[in-house]
Parts: sequence; structure tokens; C-alpha cells
Amino acid sequence: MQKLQSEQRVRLVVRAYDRCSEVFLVNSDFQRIAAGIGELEAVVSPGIYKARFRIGQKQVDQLVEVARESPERATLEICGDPVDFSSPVPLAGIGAGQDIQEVHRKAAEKFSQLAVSEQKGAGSWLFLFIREITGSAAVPWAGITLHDLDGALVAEPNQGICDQENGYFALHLELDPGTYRLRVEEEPGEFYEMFVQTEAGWQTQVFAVSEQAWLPDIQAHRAALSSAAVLMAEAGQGFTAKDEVARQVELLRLGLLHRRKVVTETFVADLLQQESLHSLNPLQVILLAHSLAEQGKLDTALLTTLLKKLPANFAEHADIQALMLNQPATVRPAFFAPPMLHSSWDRIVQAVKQRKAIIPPSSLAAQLDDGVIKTALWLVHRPDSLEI
Amino acid sequence: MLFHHTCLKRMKNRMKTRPNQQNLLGQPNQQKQQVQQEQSNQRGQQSQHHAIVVGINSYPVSGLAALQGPVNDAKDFLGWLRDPHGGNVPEAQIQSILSSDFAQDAALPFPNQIEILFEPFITKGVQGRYGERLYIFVAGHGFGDPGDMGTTALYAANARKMFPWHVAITDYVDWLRRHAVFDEIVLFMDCCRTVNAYHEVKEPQYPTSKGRTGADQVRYFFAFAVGRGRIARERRFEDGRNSGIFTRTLLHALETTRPQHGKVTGQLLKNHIHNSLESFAGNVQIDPPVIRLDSQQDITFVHRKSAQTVPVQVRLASYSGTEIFLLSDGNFQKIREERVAAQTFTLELEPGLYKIAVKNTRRQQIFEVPNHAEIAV
Repeated sequence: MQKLQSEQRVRLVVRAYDRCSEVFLVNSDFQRIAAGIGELEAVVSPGIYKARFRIGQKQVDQLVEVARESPERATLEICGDPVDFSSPVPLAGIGAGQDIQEVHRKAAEKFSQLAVSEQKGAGSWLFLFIREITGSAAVPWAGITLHDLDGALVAEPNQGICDQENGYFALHLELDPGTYRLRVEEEPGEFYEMFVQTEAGWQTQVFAVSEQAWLPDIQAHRAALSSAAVLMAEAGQGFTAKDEVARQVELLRLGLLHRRKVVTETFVADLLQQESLHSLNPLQVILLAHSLAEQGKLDTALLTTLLKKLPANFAEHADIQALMLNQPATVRPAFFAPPMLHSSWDRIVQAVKQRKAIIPPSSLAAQLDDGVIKTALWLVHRPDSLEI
Repeated sequence: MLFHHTCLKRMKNRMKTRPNQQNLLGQPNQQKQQVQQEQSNQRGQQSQHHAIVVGINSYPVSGLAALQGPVNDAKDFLGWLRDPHGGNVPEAQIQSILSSDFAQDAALPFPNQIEILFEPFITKGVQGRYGERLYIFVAGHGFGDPGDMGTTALYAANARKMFPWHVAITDYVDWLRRHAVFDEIVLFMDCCRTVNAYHEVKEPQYPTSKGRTGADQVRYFFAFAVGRGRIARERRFEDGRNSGIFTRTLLHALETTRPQHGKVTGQLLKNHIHNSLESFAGNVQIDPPVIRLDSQQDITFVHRKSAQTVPVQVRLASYSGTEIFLLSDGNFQKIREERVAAQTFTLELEPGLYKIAVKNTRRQQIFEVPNHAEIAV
């Protein structure tokens, strides 16, 4: 006897292109019936469904037909198309329909891999890439400068590649390892800054898009630091648009930025079990650990395991030290420089109140207070113009 | 408060006459209101529903680009509020202020002119409940507070970089909710929520009090065109009108969402908006809206037996005149089986998922209404 359609059940597996993508399944009444990260599984009746894949604020839908003729207890597997998410990083596979994306991709690869334009120190590298994606004729490098922790000028736009026709600015520097202040002057006397840490043997890459600033001249655009992306690559490698690790770091950043729970235990376990990888990318570890902490899933054992996957020298990174504050420790860590992430800063502030951490009175970290923009992912602050 | 009395006087002089609304101090004429309320009861209107609608296109002193959509959006939403099949809110209980009420270069409305619309509810709200539902619709340039995730404000038309005059819409909503002034609060904000490091949302000067018991029972539906830090978009639509993409989607959803048990609830509306937004965006890259509601205490927007249908154009790849098409719903229940009269024909369908097939062939297509306006089989 043939089974009634209502009795037929099919196991439906929907896989996203990216493991840090959210996946939803909606029935024909537009009700959400299942959700997952990276993939979802649901037992459904034959019918038409809609799979939705979301990264950051972007989502794409795909209709799925579970045929009436499906064998009983069959499994139907659906693979989602990549989500064309928004990012300041000109990664491969995103920005479809924007001709300028390919130009930026090639320029970022080229200039991050070329010899530095200026040597301001030794041992670590900083690559800064700011781009204009709205088609405006505004220059994306306007108002941008790099300073050391004491505020001394390290670099300004004329030391980099300023390409107005193609709307990008590239700056590649060799620096002493340390923390630097990337500053944007919105208009005379109005600044804000983010902190960028460089490490020996590594290139820190900062990508930002320029956004329309609120100035009487509506063509004025400035780099948007609060939505900037930061990647790290071993010295000499430069930026590679097709790099899967870079893509994953960016997905972790977007998850944190939009407070989406995009990290699962399975994902972490699979990452840690990759025997071929002696160590993970440092930003992969930092953002992964902060994502897990945000989701309340970072315990001492997991943090210890993650730290073992950090490349040498990174244990002292301020964003790692900030995570250690919640772990049992006999030594109170000291923060001479601010961290890169706002969530690290919150942990430090909390720890100082509980006497678990030290911020030396003369350090810049001690001077940050009211100027911190609380809703940014990075520790972005507005320094008092009188101090600059 | 924020501007001098002479400015208020000047503003009053510039204000065009708006019938059936508040007097110049923002207070509805009580006698007239009473008569209108009686009339509205007779017409079966939602006599306990109230609305505030704000739309600002021009920011002549700010440096912010002028917008084309907000006034249209506000007018369209007003149309829905007045519609007996829509909000069905009595005219006397709808308060609106639009930048088009003033001269183009007037940089009006000022914040006070918007805030005064909230005044009657705040004044009465201190003492107790005012009504069943309050709709708040605002469209224009907006921003988010740098220090608070949820707070969103609407820039007033006289906003400048150094003096970012604004109205803390979400603060007003929080106050009204905390004081249980209405049983239900519906907020629609079609504006950007970008964060400008120099602009903090200033709390309005309403009376501070702890709120009332019952605040947790207030049902709500808060819909923002975009998430925190994101930019809302507008565009010129096929009918030649400029509108906010979110508002267009919202109004379409209010009209076409398929009811369940005769009700279009907040959850159904939310689902519909999320499912149909892309089709209204056209070529514009947009971010999804943020919609908050408590599904345990959902609200009902409208009662209707079925959803309004949407036209879907079907084109057969080849046509001999003998084809029969089969249309089924998302559960594969057959809806129609008909001979095709022409290579291209139109189906009127309620929002949902469908499958169309040409009988005795392998030609078939699954599609979504309203996202697929044209399909080929």
C-alpha cells in the first residue's frame, strides 16, 4: 500500500558554503522550522522549503523541493551557494557585480607582497588598505595617519600608494613590533583611533572602506575604523584573496560584530584536530576565543587547547591576555598598551575593578576613558584633541 | 526646551494647515475629538488606537544629503492607518508631521515639534493607561547611540554636525512601555542607525519615574529598517515614486501577509517582511531589518480571511496551445489544473511557496510569491 504523503518523512540536510554561516529552514507558511550553524538537519514531509544562509547582515535564500517520490527515510542533502557578504577585505567570491572589487583584490595582493614602501623599524610589518566602493570620486586616504603609542607620527598618506582613479590607498611598512594608533581625522581637531598590534615575523593587515563623513562638503569620505577588518599573515606571504583562513577570520569578525553565534563545538573540534596544522593563524585563535567567550563556551580547558595552537610570541598579545583575566592565575597581568578588541578592553576594565589586572598610571591604556566608542568591535576611541 | 519661543512662533506661521489634527500646541481639540471618536465607534474603527507619523526629507542646514522617500513613506503609512482594511485608526487619533508641511528650505520640523506629539501620551501616561495601541512611524535620517546598542534617534530637520538636534524615539518608546501607557506599542523606524562618534542620543525631558506594574504585559512590535550601525536605503520604484525599501516591504506585508486563523500577527508579518525584502530591493544592496517582538504576547495587526493576492507572470518556454499547467502549493496540494490559453499568462496568488508544472512533461518550476514576479517553465 502506498504511504500517504503526510506520513512520508525525509531527512533533509542543508549545508552552508561556509561553516561560520547561519542556516535557517522555512516552510511554505514562512515559519522557521530549523536553524543551525554551518549546517542543519530536519526531518520533513515532502513539500517546498526555503533555505536561508546568513553571514553578518547578508542573507541569501534558496528554494528546496523535497519530492513526493522520495524513498522512505531517504536523506536529501542541499549545498548552499556562497553568501556574497559585505567586507572591507577584497576577498575572492564576494562583491559580485562590482568591477572595482577585482581591481582592489589585485592591488591588495600586489602591494602587500611587494617590498615595504617605508622602513620605520624592524621585525614586523603593517599593511594598510583603504578602499572606496561606492563609486565616489572622494579620496579614501583623507585624514588617515599612523602613530606610535606615544602619539608620534609614523606614517601619513604620501608614504603609500594613493590611487584616486581606482579608489584605494595602500601602505606597507616595516615596524618595530608593538602597538600603533591608526588615526582618522574627520575634520580639523576631530579624531578617532583604533589600535593595531604588530608581532615579530608577522604582517598585520588592516582593511577599511571609506564612508561618507558628515561634513558640509558631502563628497568628504573617511576610513570607517569601526567596521575595519584585521588579518595577519606570516612575513613575506602578503594578502591572498583566495586564502580560506583569511575568509574564516573575516567570518569570525562579522559574527562578533553582529553578535551572531557562529561558532559551534564541532567547528572548534575539527579545527583543533587538523593534524597538518601545527599552529593556527593568530587572529583565527583570538577571534575564535572571543567568539566562544561571548557565547559563554570558553572554559579553561578549551582556552588552554586553543593557546597551544597559537604561534610563538602571541601568548603576550593583549587580546589573549585579556581572556586570561577570567582564568585562575597567580600573576596579575599588566597592560601597557590597549588591546585591539573592545571586548578585551571591557574585560580589562572589569579586572581592574576587581584588582585582577594592572594598567600602569602613565600608559595610554590609563588615559582611555570616556572617549571609547562602546558599540564598535575594535577598541575605537576619540582622543581629546588637546592631548594630540 | 531646545529652541527659542520666537522660533516656535515663526514655525507656527510656516506650518501649513493640517485638518483634523492637533492645535498648534499639539493638543487635539477636545470637543471635536469627542465627536469624532463617537463617529469612529459608529464606523467600527479602532477607537483605542493612536498613531504618530513623522517623515523628514530635507536637512537643508546639515550637510546630510536630502532624501526622497521619507515623506512618501509617511504618507503611505498614513494611508494604511486610515484604511478601514488596514489600521482603521480614527483620523482624530493620528498625529503627523512631515517636512513637506513646511517651506522647503525651512529646516523644519525642529525636535520640539516632533516631541510635542508624544506629550499627551506622556502627560496622561504618568497617571495611567491611555489606550490600546500606539503606532509610531518615523522615516528620515537617523543614528544609533555610540554607547547603547538599541537606542536609535531621528535627526530633526535642523540637525548639524555640531548641534545634532534629534528625537530619541526609542527612549520615548521605552518610557511609554515602562509606564504601560498603551497595551500595545508598534514602532517602525525607516532610517539609518549608523553610529557617529560625536553624536550621542540625548534622553528626552520627560518626567522620570520608576514606571508602572504591568509594563511586562505590554505587547510590542519594534521594526527597524536595518541593524545597528547600518544604512537604510531608498530607491525609485517602478511606479515612479521614491520610497524607503523597508517601508515598501512593510506596507506590502501589511496588505498581503497570509493570515492564520483569520489573523495577521506580528510574527507572521515579521516572517513575511524577511521573506519578501529582497524583491523590493531591486538592484540595491540592502541589509535586513531588525524586528523584535515577544511571540508569547504577539499582537494582531489585521483580521482577514485570506491574503491579498499578488500577480505572477508565467512564460512557457515553448507553446503549442495544448499545454495544461498544474499548480500546487508548498505542501504539493493541487490548486489548479488548466489548459494554457497563451504562452504568457498571469496567476494571482497569495504569498507562499508554489510549484508549477506542464502536465505530461518534465517542465516544472518551484517559486516564491511575492519574490518571483516572473517565472519561466
